Amino acid sequence: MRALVAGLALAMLTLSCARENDFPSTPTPAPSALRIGNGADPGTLDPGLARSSAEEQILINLFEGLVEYDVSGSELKPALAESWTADPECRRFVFILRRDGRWSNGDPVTAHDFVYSWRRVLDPRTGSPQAYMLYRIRNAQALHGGRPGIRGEDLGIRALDDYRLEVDLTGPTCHFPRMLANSVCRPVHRRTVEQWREQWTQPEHMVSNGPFTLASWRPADRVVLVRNPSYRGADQVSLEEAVYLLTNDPNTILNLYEAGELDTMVTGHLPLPHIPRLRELPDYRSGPFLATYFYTVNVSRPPLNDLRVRRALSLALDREAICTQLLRSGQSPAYFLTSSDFQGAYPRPRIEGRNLELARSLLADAGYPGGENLRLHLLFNSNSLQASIAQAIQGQWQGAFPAAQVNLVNQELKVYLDALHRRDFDLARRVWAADYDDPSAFLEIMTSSSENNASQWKSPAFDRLIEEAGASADPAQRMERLARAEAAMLAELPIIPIYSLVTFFLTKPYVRGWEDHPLDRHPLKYVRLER
Amino acid sequence: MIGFILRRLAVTAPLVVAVLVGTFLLVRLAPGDPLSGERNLPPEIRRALEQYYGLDQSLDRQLLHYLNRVARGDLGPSYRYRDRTVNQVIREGLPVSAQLGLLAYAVALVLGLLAGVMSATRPSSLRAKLILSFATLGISVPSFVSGPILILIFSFVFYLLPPAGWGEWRHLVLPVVTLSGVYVAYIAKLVKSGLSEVMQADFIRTVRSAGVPENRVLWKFGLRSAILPAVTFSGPAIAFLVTGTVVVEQIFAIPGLGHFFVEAATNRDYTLLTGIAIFVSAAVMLMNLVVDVAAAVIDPRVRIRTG
Repeated sequence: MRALVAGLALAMLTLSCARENDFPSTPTPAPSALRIGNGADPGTLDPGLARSSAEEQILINLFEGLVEYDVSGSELKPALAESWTADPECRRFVFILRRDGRWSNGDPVTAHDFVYSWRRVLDPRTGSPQAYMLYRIRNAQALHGGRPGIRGEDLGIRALDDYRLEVDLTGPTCHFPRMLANSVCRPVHRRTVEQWREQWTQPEHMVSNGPFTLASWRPADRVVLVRNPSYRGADQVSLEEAVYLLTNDPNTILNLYEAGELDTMVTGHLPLPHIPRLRELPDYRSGPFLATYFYTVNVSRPPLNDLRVRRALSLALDREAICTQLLRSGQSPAYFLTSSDFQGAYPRPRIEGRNLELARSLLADAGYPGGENLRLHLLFNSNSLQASIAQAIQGQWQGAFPAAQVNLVNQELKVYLDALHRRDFDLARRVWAADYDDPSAFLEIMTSSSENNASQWKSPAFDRLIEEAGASADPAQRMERLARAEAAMLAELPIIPIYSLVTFFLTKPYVRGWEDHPLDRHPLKYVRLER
Repeated sequence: MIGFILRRLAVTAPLVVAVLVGTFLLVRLAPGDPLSGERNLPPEIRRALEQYYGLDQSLDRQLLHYLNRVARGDLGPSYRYRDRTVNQVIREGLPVSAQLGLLAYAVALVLGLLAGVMSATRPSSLRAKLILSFATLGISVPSFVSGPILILIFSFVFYLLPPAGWGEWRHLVLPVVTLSGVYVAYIAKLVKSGLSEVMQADFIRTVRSAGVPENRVLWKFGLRSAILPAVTFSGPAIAFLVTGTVVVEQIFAIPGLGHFFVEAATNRDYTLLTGIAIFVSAAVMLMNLVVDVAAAVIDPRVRIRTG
């Protein structure tokens, strides 16, 4: 009996605790709040340390940089920079800052904030995983690599006065402003960072300059942002509050959405088997996404060191079938690494489409008639989508070359990454999403020095073309050089492109201003709720 | 009694250190590393991060450094949550798991006791058979099956409760029911078998013959002895419930310790994983001690046996 009473007392106590404290850091969202499925849990809210798109989604609303994309991602617009000028060679930029930029504590945002923030990102002690985004700046890579004799003052960035920022680059880079929309390039408040160190991103300490401020943050649960009244354009921001729910399970996200607990979500977090049903809903939204799914080929290993084998494998693929029968979310077959032609500005090259006859004859020439003695391992990480795609590819190759042995190697994500980075694979699945809307955001991963080039393919000609494109001040000439580089790379097939990704998500009809965006960014300052 | 507690504590402390060293070495043996990601880090960035986390040192130096830190109550910085220390993550996750776990345990205790007593007093009645059938169902159906079924019924057929999340009382209902299901069944079974045996014992016959009313015989004399197995079971059960239940927290997207433990394992967050492992093992050992003390208080025979 005593145990029964104790049990009941325990239950009452726990319930009363729940009611009294009422989950202090997770208040119920206001009816005017937008509830967003963020797809993943941010590991940090420090723009200098951000690494994932889950972090980027939130940070672009907390911090404002020099430039930003418009709501649909089609146009780059001035943000804190009122305007900018470049010398004819695009080696030196001067950004003129707005005078009404304010930190949430009332301090003005000045050019000095950018000097401090960019030096901080490039200081090796900060450990910024995306510091490479600033490598175009003179001495940036040397500073970040800890080269002796290079100090923060040597970095090619200078505050000419409070509102003029001069940036010197390593070479002509006319698309430099495009590279500055990412959160790693956004300023942080020096005094706050220095006073609170790692803890400065806690809601009680954070000082930010974007349209929203951080109200609360509980890992694995939610991040709550509220409108920043001291933001320069606060009167044009309609949304009062945004709640990012941080669950990463696609089934949970769909459940929450269907139960009316979510208003919208970021892209790519819907369970694959539900897509055909969801596509019929008016809430379903989809659009182009600057990301490509491909298999990277380890060209240092036989039989894949033979170009004929690589070509045969690519020619035997039915990419159309993978997109329309397996993925079914509007993805398109990829015959290139760059997933877009950038509104026609980029003369994108492409590889040959399906040709089984040619594939078989190439393989026979290489000494594997009908796939005889051909043994391949497809490496991917444990995930139903990756497994389905790998199985489809395995089926297509075995169908085309019946004697070939295509084995699937399914590994847990970290084990897969380990194998990939140790170059211990034949073919490994990859996805590359561009950091900014330019072909170079794709192509630069294939240079000899890129740590993301897992294929072991190194081509001085390709490197030179990429370098020459960077050095070109004429946009058309630059695009033409990039296209030549891509064509040269595709001719050797160190990667086998599979498909171009699309954004896909659900959004309630009363949410306005949450648009398809090729970089999957959703600035909240454009969002209105029309319930 | 104090000597008994001290002796037990003396055994517990080295065990916690053994768990610490074991976990520390095991997580480092696992392939993959905490710094790897879909995008490979440039070598200079990797070097800087390795230095920041002390990964550039030899394993024995890392272990010594870690032991030294833990001795001061500092479980180190998290790799997954770069703006937080492991202590902070545990501080944030523990109240969530504790709330869920204690509530689930309280529900399980009340329902389990009632069910156990009912099925023990009238073993052949239809009600007792029904209760025992439910208990068997509760034990056999894992929470990754019962959880989604409850979501389907209560969130999508009746639209009564949210399918996931945390923050309001309505978020508690489904996970508590899912979590308590298994424990209701265990407690009911333990109480039932204990009670059936005790009610046949000589001292109960003596009490009955003294004219004590049957209700009092059952609740005061019978249950007091019959509940011991349930109390012993409760110690580790509470410890596990309070320190996070991995499956239920995943299903219902609850930001508790169990969730962070899985996140730490998949991300190879060495410090977070080791930190939670140490914390949970210390909690389990402590609860076992509490249970032993409680058993001695409830039943004098235990006191005599353990001396």
